[in-house]
Amino acid sequence: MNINKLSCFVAVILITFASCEKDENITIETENYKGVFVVNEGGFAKSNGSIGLYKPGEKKYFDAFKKANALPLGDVVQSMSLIGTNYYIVVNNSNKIEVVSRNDFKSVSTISTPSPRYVLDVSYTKAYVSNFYNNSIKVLDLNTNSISKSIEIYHNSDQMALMNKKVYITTFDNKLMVLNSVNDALVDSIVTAPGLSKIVNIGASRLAVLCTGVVDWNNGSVIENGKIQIINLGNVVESSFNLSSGSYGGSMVYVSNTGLLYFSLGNDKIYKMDLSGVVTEFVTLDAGRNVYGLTYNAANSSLYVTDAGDFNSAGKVIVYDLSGNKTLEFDAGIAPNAVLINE
Amino acid sequence: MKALLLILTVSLSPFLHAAKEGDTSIWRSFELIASKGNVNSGSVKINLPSAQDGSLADVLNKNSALFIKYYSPGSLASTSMRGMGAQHTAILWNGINLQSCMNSILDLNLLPMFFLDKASIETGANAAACGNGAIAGAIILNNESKENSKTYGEIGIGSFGQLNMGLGAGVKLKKLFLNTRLLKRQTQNDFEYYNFFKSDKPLERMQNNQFNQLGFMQEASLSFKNKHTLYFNYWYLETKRQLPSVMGSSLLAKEHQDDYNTLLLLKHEYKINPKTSLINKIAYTSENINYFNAFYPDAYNAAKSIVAESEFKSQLNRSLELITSINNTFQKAWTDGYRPGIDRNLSSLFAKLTWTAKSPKLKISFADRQMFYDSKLAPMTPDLGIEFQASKSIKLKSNAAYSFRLPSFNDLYWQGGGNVNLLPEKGKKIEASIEYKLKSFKLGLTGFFHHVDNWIMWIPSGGAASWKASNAKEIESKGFELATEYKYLISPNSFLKFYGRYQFVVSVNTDVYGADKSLVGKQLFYTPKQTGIANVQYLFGKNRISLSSTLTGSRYSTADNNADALLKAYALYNFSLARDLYYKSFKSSIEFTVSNLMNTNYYVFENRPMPLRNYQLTFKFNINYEHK
Repeated sequence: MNINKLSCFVAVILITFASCEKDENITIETENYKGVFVVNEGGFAKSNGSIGLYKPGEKKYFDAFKKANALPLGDVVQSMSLIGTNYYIVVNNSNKIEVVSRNDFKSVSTISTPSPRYVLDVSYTKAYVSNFYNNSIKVLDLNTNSISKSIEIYHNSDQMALMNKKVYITTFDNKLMVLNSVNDALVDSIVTAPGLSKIVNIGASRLAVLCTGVVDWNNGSVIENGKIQIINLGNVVESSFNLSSGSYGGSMVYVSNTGLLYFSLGNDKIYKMDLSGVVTEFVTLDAGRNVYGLTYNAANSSLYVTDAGDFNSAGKVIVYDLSGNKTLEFDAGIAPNAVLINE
Repeated sequence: MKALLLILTVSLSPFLHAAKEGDTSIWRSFELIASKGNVNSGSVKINLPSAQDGSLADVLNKNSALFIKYYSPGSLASTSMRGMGAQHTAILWNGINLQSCMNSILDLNLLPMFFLDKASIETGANAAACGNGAIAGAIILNNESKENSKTYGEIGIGSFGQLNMGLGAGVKLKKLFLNTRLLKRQTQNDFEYYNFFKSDKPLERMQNNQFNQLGFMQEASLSFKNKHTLYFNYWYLETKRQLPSVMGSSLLAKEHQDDYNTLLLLKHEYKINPKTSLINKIAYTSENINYFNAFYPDAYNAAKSIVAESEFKSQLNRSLELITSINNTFQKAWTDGYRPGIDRNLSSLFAKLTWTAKSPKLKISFADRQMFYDSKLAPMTPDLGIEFQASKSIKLKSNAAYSFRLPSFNDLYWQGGGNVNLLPEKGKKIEASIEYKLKSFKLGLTGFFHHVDNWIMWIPSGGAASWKASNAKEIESKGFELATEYKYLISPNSFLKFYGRYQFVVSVNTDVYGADKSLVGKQLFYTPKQTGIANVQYLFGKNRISLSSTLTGSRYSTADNNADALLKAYALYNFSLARDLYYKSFKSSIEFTVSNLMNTNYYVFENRPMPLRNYQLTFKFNINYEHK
């Protein structure tokens, strides 16, 4: 082989490799941030969580935070709450809460706080932040968007519900911790059935909690079935309804206009239960689908079901009317767990 | 920059004059495409350059077309061969498979090159020759020290607090040879990266990324009566490293991991007569992996294996060779997922018959291994290899084989998702190669097709919150591999050497068990279709200049091949200058290397930044006391 040819050959190969690089530019575009927001957790330790926005009219889905801010969001996007004119996006494993404007979804503030899970506004100026690895509730000053106080509750915390100026906080120890939201005092705790998972306010000074029971980690068999329990203003478990199975986790929402709880134990079935404990099947998802999150939108009387799939592909959002008819389905991000509608 | 490369490459041309290569370098010249010494018939063997520092992962990364997956330098590194997973590549150390029974993989960053004498890649090596786990191929690691009295070592310093030190000594006492090696590797790995999770994308330093390793190796061999050879090899490695967080994530977990690895081999080779030999081996491997995280309880995992193997090799007549072996491997592991401990026994019988025609030179071999485990029969692994010397320059090879991989202990028994009903993965493949050799030019081209059934994955099962190891899908992997090398002699003491390696692979799901078939036809995630390396070296006198480029093609980070999750391709350039220094029997070299010459901002995994341009300076020496 002629050596000059060899030199050219080597050069061509090297340049071919060099030419494979592409630059990635993220552009900021003007967008109307109205539609169905999807909270996509992303994979743990992958920092690919996102807030997606689906616009039903245009049948368009995009990464809202990235589009508005030209930044990825972070690791495990757990929840998003609308408080006043801002959304509070909790990014659990990034230890932060991104505050974005409702109007243009641009970042207003970033709050650093350890392992946050949910934000619940308890007054016009104050919100509580639950924590996964921290036995406390953080008090968030909504005027300054900063953590102003820490309340020791002796348990790691998750979901919260407000009832008559008291905040009921689910823990991973089958206990509800009760805070007085006026003076931030820990006032009570309530022992629930095993597998405390979700809490919703069902009106008439009552709360409902979904407890998913006990499952044998060795073989997946159900040791104790789940329960839905009703808790009254006196912090007493008023009634407890046995479910027909148990699971590692589940989802539940309350639909006020039907007076029914809609819940799932994380499989392909969604049930509805009246407050006397009568359970009927609401819908079975299409084959291969499982419920990862439930959200009810009163504006269009629809139940939004999120399916996380294999947690490594685009999840799905499936929408049902209250008759159990599927009205919409669209692809979301990785591991969608809830939606929030802004229309 | 492209122009610069062109100029640099072409500018070497004036130095080119036909000449002989002088054997002047401590940097042992190596044959990339090797036709001999394969563990598997009919497949192509690619040697890796020896006398390299760093870990096996580093060397594979810079010198092979394998895709090496790692979060950061020093962290867990595994390989993807022919578009398959790390668990589908057998890692054979002196013939002993080092894949962990806990998870079927081996961390390639744990193995220091200073403890190895030879390393090679056999894509397409099969289960018949390599046993459980060799579905995609094998990486072959051997200790074959030259038996002479010597002192040798290396010291390297580099960016990010890198310090590598190795010291070895060999003593030849008549029929006894003793060889000892000591090793220390450490680095802060606090390299700078652009944090694109922040609005101004600042340059920040990687945190919690230290790596520290200490190692000891003792080798001994004893030969007597020209018939018996006893060989002993012992490795002990203690590795302590921090595990960095993904970009955009919390730094509070402060993860770190301690690994303790022991390898022990005792081998007796008995040459019964010039045509017949018997090799008996016993090996012990042990790994302890202790994981720490600020938010979780400490996790202590341990695994041990004891391997006993007897191999009988006989040249039955002029054209027929028979190899048989019997192997028993006992595995035991303890983890938080199965704290009382789990064990299993793998027994296998192996036979290989090779027929070689004298002219035209044709070699046909048939092999099979039958393994028994837990009172069950593993799938058969018939293996047919053909090699045909079509002309002086052209050799044709082909191989067809079945293979399998047993589920790991984690897959079977992990509390909360382990599935004792898992079936072994079953593979079948066919490949064909052409090797062309003309003077100092060599080319190897292989086309391959693999099909793997019962592919094991952890997937949500019976609900989104419940994960389970499952036989989840079938995959097909097909493509081709190209390897080439060329050496041009310029003068009695200078030459130019080029070598390149390229792999193109399409590795897709052909079926997904279950109702959701949306992943059928999708490329496996983190599996680039294209990988390659090109290296050109100019050696003159005692000097060497080397420029290499590695290509990693774009790859999806999600299973559904979402276009938004496509990680861009990257090419990295490494440049080095080296000079040999001699004084009588003292041989040494000093090398300066610039890695990531173009300061490319790249990611092997999504949101896991890698080092920008960095530098290393390495000094190596060898004092041969028997030098004349």
